[in-house]
Amino acid sequence: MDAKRRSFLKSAAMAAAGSMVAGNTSLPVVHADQAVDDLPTGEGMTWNKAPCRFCGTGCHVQVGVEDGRVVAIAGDKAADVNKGLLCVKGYHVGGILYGKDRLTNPLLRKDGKLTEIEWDEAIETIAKRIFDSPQTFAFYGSGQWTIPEGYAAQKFMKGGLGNNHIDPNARLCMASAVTGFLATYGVDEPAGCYQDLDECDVLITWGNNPAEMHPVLFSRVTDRRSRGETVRIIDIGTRKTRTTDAANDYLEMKPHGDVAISLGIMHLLIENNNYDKSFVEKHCNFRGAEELTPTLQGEQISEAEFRKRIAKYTPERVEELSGVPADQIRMLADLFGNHDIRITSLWCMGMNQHTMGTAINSLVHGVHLLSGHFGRPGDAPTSLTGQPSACGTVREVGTLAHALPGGRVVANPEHREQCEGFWNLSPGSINATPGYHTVKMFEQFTKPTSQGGDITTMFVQVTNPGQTLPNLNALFNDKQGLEDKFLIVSDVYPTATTVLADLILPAAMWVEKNGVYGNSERRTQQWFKMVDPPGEARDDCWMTIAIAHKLFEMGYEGMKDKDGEFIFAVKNEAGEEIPIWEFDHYYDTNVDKHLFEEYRQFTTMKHKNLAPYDEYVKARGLRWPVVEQDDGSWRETKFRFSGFDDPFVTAGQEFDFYHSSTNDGRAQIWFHEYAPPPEMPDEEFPMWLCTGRVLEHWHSGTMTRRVSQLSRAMPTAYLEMNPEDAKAANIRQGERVIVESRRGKCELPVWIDGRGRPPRGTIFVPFFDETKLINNCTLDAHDPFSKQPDYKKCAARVKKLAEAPS
Amino acid sequence: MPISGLVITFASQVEEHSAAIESLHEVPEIEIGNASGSKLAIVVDSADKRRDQQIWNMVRELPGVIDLAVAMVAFDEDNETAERESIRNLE
Ligand code: SF4
Repeated sequence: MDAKRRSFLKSAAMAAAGSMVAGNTSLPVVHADQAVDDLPTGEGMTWNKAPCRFCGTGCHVQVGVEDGRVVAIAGDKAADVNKGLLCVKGYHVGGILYGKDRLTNPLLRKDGKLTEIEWDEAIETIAKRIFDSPQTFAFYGSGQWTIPEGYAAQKFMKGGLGNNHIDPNARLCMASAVTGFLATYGVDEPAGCYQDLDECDVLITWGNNPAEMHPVLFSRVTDRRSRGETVRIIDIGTRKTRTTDAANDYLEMKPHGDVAISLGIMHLLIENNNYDKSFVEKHCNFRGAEELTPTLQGEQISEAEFRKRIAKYTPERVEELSGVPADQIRMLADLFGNHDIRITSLWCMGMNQHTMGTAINSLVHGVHLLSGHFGRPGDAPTSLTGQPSACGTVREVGTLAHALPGGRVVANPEHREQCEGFWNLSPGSINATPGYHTVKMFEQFTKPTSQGGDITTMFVQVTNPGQTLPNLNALFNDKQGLEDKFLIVSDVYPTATTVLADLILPAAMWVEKNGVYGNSERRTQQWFKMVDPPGEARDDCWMTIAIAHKLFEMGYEGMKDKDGEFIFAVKNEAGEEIPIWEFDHYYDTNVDKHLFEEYRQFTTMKHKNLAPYDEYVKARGLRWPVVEQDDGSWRETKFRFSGFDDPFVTAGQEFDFYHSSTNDGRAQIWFHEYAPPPEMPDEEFPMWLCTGRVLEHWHSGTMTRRVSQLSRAMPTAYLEMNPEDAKAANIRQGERVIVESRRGKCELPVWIDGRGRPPRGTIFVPFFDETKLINNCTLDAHDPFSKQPDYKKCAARVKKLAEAPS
Repeated sequence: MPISGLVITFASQVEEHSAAIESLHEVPEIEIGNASGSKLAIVVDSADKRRDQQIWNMVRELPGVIDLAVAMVAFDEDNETAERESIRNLE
């Protein structure tokens, strides 16, 4: 690097850091160009905004591009989410484009060997397999799909093929949050927003480690302390983490203890007559599960019945079930009983990856509703997402096996009819039977066709199930040797999934394409393509459209609308069709914008209103519902269901749960009986195994492990063990062990008193490392409503490598 | 040769942490910028990624430092690729 360029970059870095120091206060959302003012351009460098590619926080970055290459990343100080801050992953987000082993050509397995082929052959191969057997095709997607990508895949499957076998990896990380919101409010996604973190007096983290998983959000909270504000952090968890280090109180619970704790709080609120009677009388119903066939709707129960059912969850009984001392349960109940303070609850996969995931989500909402800690800034039950567009693409676009865009479902004839109307399809085009959810989809794919395995072709986009599915030996590895099964994987790097792929498609990523994401606080964020992808890598959305068009050319009826036009047809101003299925013409128009505007029609149906695409171009995201004002401007909503902010609350009402499942404007306070975990330690497998993530790596590590700083900082997965357990087993720091469950095993080095500190009898393993597949061991038991598997608790044993049988 | 703009957050006002500031002055790769309240801007210009990491760790460990955030990072032309290739390609 020459001296002039070096000094230019140094001055840019100093300007970026200096402006963050100067802008120590919170910043409003501003229009695009304002924020780049103090990032010097010159030397051919330009800056443009984009949301970070990693977690669901949705931080914005400024991307510095020079000579067609991303050369710098700066925190975006105009972004309301992160106010210029980034975590260590966000700081390296530009580096993920430039791993040495990017996939650059389509590869087809011929006689067992991966062979380079042309795109035409790849698209034709896929279209032919689908044409021959459309109902045995499945599409497995992602909370990393952009909104247009997910919408295109959704329309392709449910509209084009009349096939509902489409599901995303978000089924594995936040499906129980969805069912918890639906069961409680009748509509999905949090009512509050990140402003709650700036205003709460108490923050409760329920089996959640935001210090590592949502670090920028957590620093919003700890930053308040450095400004002299008081915020009490209460960490409820199964192991001590970096979040615990910052917490005032740590409540260590047994696995599944959260269910008992929330029941215990509600018991005390009722027992002490300390709940918010007025809020409950005006705005809530009580609900319990039906005895014979429980549904998400449940059945109405009276307050007296609720009291009767919850009576046995005394603090002492809860202590027995959860391991948390009765006094601590009383402390929590006293806090919730105090209406002068504001309480925010945060959770993520710890609560969602749970065989009682829907129940525990509903119960925590219930604690907030019963106590009236709801709907004021700082008073909120909030579920965070792990992926950048789990909310936007999965929950809003509805890329789940049972859903349609905008909160519609395939099982409802009216919803299907509305959707067919928007897509200009013939009546009856959409199949009424929900498709396979993730676990079932992979069961059917890895089961021999002769034994009823009725998924024969699977297309995986933007995710890595060969590493992230639970019980990998049963749900993924069994694909090997099944000659008639065909796995298509689109990705940016070789992964544990591409190992078994029959066809690998090189994908463009992040700022190599246009995109729109929706983050954890209902914020929709847009960006433009800034650099070209390497080699022959292409956009996932283009792949879907190109396959659809190939089927259209082959005469597949479903790819035509009612008027005989291609279902993804885009026309220019002269009314001529733009051939967006040819990659050379894909960027002749903004396909994202066309798809987004089409999708936007669905968003008004459940009051998830989105603004026109061009409004997002100007902003650092807007939180839905976004409603047009008299002066033509668009206003976002921070606090849903609260009369002071939500435009859809009936005038004069303080609160209005306008999608109430009981159609009376009320939210539901649920009772669920505590049930033990699906698998418990025993003599043979005496330890609890929990899996999760680390600060430096994002999910399966495909991207972050290719950034040398991140890889060096956290090079390998490990097994966290309690020192006493290690001593009892004669295991020393760094020693290699085999961790084993009834489903499989994994070899790991031991880390004692490391990043996390598990209590006796429990072990923890992060899942980012493709060389150490801990999901060989995890359990595929899942929640009956959300179908989300429980990765957080199963029975395992640990053996020193030398002592383990080979 | 990484260049990064960083923001250090101290437990209290920056001027109360003279020992830490002195330690920062002793590192030739660090340039000190503005301070306001408990926050201080610095730029690190190091010879290689390993040294960058060392400096990062050293700053994080300084007495009184409670957080280290990144404001900007500049990449080299040939950089940011992992030293390890994916395990799949080595097989
Ligand atoms: S907190 Fe999440 S979104 Fe923000 S910079 Fe870090 S990884 Fe990116």
